[in-house]
Amino acid sequence: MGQAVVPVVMIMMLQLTWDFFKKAKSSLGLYVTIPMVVVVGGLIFGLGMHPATIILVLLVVAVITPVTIRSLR
Amino acid sequence: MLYLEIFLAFFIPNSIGYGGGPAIIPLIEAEVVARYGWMSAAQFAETLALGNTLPSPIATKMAGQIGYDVGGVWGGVIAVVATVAPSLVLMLGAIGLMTKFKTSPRVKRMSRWVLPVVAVLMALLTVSFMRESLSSSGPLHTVIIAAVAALLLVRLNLHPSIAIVFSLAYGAIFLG
Repeated sequence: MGQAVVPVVMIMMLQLTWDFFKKAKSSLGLYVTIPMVVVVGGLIFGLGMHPATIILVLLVVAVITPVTIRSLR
Repeated sequence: MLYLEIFLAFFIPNSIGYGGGPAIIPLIEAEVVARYGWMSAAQFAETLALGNTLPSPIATKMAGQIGYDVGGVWGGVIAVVATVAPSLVLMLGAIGLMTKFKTSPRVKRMSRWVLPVVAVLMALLTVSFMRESLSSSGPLHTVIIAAVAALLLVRLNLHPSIAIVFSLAYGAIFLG
């Protein structure tokens, strides 16, 4: 009986996935979002990297690299 | 040692969890299911489903329930503290700093750049729930429940609790 909940949660996660993809698309654009999704997916799924490591690296890079006009858009 | 593990399992996801409450669900899953093996993906899904039907943010509810499940009352307390403490300490200690840098392009960039990562993590979690359901309920029941859930949640935009009640009723009748 309990296992019947799992497909419902799957649909919820699918909705969230789509929401976040749309958010990423609207703030970063499709040309940044798609390559990032592919690379990050490869690192986590292919190479088995811990997601926390990737996020930490991104946050650190976001803080220390210089801000260009382009990234402000 | 267990308490330390519980603390870390929630402290790490919540310290790096930029992008709102649901964004850290896959990160918590990576800790409690993949790293520490405290629960199966199915149990995690059930906790998430139950949490989603109740009011208030998802992260604290998940933490309280999983922490209690693993380490009793103190486990629950530690998990909730580990969830809330990072942002709370930041807010109390540096609220002036936060408001000052809120419009900083770097801070904006931080919350933007993690969005694709979060999308990938959520996609992976979706796939793992799908695999879980295919092996526990079989393809037929999975497709039927998922289709009805999609209809209720996406098409009719109803509250998650309705889809969950439906799935539990379906499970009681067809899955025993």
